[in-house]
Amino acid sequence: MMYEQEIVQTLYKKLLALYPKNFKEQLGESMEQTFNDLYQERQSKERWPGFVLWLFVETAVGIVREHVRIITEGAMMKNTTTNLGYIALISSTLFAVAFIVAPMIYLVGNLRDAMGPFAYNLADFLYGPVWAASLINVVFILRERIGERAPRRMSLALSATVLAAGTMILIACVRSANRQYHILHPELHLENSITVLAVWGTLISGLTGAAWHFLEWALILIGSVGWTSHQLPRLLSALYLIAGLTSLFVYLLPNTEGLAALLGVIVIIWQGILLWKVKPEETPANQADQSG
Amino acid sequence: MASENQIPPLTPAVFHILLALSTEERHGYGIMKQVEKDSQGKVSMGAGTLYGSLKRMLDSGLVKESDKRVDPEMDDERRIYYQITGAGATALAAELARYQRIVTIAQQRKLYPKTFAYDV
Repeated sequence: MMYEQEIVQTLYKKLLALYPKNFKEQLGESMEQTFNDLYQERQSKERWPGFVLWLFVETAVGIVREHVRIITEGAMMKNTTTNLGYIALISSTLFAVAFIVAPMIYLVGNLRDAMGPFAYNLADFLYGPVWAASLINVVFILRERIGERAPRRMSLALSATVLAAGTMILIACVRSANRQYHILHPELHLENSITVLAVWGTLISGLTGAAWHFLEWALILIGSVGWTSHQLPRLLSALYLIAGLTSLFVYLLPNTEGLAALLGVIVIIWQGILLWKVKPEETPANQADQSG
Repeated sequence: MASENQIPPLTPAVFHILLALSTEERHGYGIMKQVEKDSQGKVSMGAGTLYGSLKRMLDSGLVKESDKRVDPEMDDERRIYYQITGAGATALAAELARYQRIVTIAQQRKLYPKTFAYDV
């Protein structure tokens, strides 16, 4: 009988090991005691194997519930800050590459070269999905780190980022579709059609302006959160605000796109390095919390 | 202190745990037994539900861990006790006041436990 009890208790202990780490550390011992108490109480009664089985099932359901809660509440993110730091660094690097390489291909590339179509496809891929995913990653991770200080502004910033990213993907798709059509139908000489060029130019310029506009909101919101919460260096917050304001006027002054892109690259690279190197507990505001 | 209206309604599990801890500190098994007693055997809480709720209550400051000690009515093992906090007592009082109001409304409408029962 004692041997049987030991086996059941060991099995229950192993089951408790499946709880999330924090939960296990805080309540594991108490749960084990309670299980032993219940076991002792019910052992002498009828149908106790059914009761023990119910305890196992009920606890297993509790384990699933705790893991789901952690995922939904974002606590998992807090436990994996190191990984998030690396993701932020990689994402910011990719963002910078996309921002620098793609426009260069558009500027100096030649579609009639042997590698022309490949280079343009690469540029669209970089300036579309890569640009979008890396920017969303950085802003999402930043929101995880400093979002508690200004949840509404950071959520708005993330929403604006998603809109900017979506618009950039749309631009890449339109560019790519247009180019494929040119390649498939050379006999139409679409590159000489004023109508096509006017529609094409207006469409892409308009969409690019819209993407910059959404990006401007994201940058300004992040800059304001960084400034007011002291979670980011002052200079970085200021650069966010300047980059945001520059982005705002890209639709009016297309020539400022280069400056806006340069500021965007500086800001995102700096941000990526900060997210990688600085742990959440080391941010200035948290240090102030601890001392005060 | 937060006013009664600012305190959100409690889940049944949290309510029963606070009720069980309202008179004295108890360990996990003690809470389970008291909940069963308070509900006249109608609420039987498993360890997963009890400790899932306790975790949330500890995080939100409704209860706190007390010292580890031996339960004189049980074996010699030292058990972790839990006690209700000021915030927990306030939340329990607010919930009881809500129930009280509901009972008052039901009484005004002459709704009693057997109103909807069909006694044959």
